[in-house]
Amino acid sequence: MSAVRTWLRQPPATLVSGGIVAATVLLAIVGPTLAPFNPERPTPLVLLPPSPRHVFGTDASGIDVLSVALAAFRVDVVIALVSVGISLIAGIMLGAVAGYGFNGSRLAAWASTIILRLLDLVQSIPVFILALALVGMFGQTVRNVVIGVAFVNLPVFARLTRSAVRSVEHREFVAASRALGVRETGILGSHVLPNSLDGTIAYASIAVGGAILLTAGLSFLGAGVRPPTPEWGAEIASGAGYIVTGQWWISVLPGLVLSAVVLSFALLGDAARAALERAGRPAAMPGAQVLTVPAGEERMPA
Amino acid sequence: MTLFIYRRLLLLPLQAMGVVTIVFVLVHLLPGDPAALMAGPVATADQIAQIRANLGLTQPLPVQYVRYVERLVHGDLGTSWYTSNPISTDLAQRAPATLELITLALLGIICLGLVIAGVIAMGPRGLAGRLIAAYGFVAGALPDFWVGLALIFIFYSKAHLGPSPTGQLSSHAVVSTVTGIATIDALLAGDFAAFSDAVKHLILPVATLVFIYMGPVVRITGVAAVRSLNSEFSRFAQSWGITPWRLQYYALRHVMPTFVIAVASAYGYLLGGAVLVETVFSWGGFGQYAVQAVTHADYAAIEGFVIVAGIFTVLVYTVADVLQMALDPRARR
Repeated sequence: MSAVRTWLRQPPATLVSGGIVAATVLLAIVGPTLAPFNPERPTPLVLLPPSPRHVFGTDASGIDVLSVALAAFRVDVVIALVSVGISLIAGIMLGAVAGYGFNGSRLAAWASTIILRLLDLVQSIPVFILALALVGMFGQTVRNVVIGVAFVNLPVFARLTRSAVRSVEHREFVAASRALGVRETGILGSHVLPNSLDGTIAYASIAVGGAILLTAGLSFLGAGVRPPTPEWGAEIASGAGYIVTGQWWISVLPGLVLSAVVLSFALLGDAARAALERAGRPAAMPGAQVLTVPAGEERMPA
Repeated sequence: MTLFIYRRLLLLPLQAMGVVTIVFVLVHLLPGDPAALMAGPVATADQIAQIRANLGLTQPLPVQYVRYVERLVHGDLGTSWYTSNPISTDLAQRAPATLELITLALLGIICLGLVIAGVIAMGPRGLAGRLIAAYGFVAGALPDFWVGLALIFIFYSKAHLGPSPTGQLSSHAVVSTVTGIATIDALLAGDFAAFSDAVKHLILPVATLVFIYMGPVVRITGVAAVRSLNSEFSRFAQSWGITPWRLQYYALRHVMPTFVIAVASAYGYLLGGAVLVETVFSWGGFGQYAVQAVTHADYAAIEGFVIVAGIFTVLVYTVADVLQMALDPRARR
């Protein structure tokens, strides 16, 4: 009961975004079954404006736009969740190795420098361009979209984890564990990491929204998920040519659904960050700091 | 200070080499014969053999790498099988249009962004501050290509303002290409009708880019401004009876390094966004070339595009870092 009351005391934006995120995950599971019409089969009823029968209208192939928008939850949300899951796990592992000093080990310092330089390299190419090139080169399949999106997101997760690990590793409980003879990998795994992941996980929610935008952008260009698989960006692209002639619903309405989902993931992530701040555990969030490496970290270990 | 700037500039070639190395590794990770991929799906065996010889694919990897860098240094990015032009020529032809687009968007972001960040600083909890915070979230959640389409619908399909939103010029306005930037070419030709046509074509794509990519700049700068005005040095200045305007000026000075970095990262994102927005507006620039390369499996063109985009970004970040060092003594350690 008290859990419910705590939950209800959250700011309204948190409640609404949390609700939409929960609904989104639910729709990713049941969305395709809710679609009133077949989202992949063309019909002769082309370019019908929104009506009670076709709430979002129909597109140039006579497919019900609402059905596409609903069925696309499974495609877009699953791609985003899986790719963010991959970059979260890989980023945490890389960030842990890059951040933890292993009690002043020289090897760890070298590994840290090498990982950071590699992350710099990946981050020197704009995210969307890198994702587009990866998918373009390795082939336009759903699997490659997932890998591409995961790859471009990885550096941010690694950097977040690294800075959190660095701020935790000098706390007393780490020294205490060391004095008790716990191995360094054990300290990292069971004491340092659990205390440094909250900010990274809060950011993951924002990254899911970003991953949806990336997937839709790639598909909009015809470089991601391809028709007839229902996908938001591809559906927006299919209506793009009809905007000038006034058939707005094909592009505009799926775009609104997509944006509501992305916005909710972002608001939920922000609410998590705010909650951490209130609890006295401010979490680093990526902003401008990813561009410049603070001086002193530039140097190779002597 | 110059010493620090030189040291930062020395990093630039290293970073550029990094970009080149990543692309080299990616191409060699590709399944299949790189020569056949580069040659395109309609190449003859002779053409593939020619490319194989050019790339030195029979030699060990380090030798290939050195030859690859050598070619790049000479500006040779290979040949596109799809346009059958050298990729450097293709890119040089299309880059000015994209640069015009993203530079104007950047100027818009700088001017508007500073004003809006100032408004946030004056009252982060007021109505204006809240509205701007909401804008930041919404701008981050809307796809740029969707905003472009929505603007076309509102201003062209409904309000019938301006010329058809495709390309840099209407088909009746023809100016000879000098710089590849339609507005400047029209001015050079003294054709003011064409100039105004080119400006009208610019408004919607630039507005789309500004609307989307100003979001993070405003958010980051606004937070920094609020923090600066609440800092102890601000309160100290206040206790000395310094006027609010002067206090704002101090805060602006303090926020500038953050602003520069935020704007620079926006420039990098703009290049990616241009790929999508150019497609919406059939802009015919750098970004649309990349899309064409991806949809036609034009590997050499993708490779060239990524290298140029990466080096451009590295250049922008270098300029930003140097500016930051000039503005912020703490960055000069």
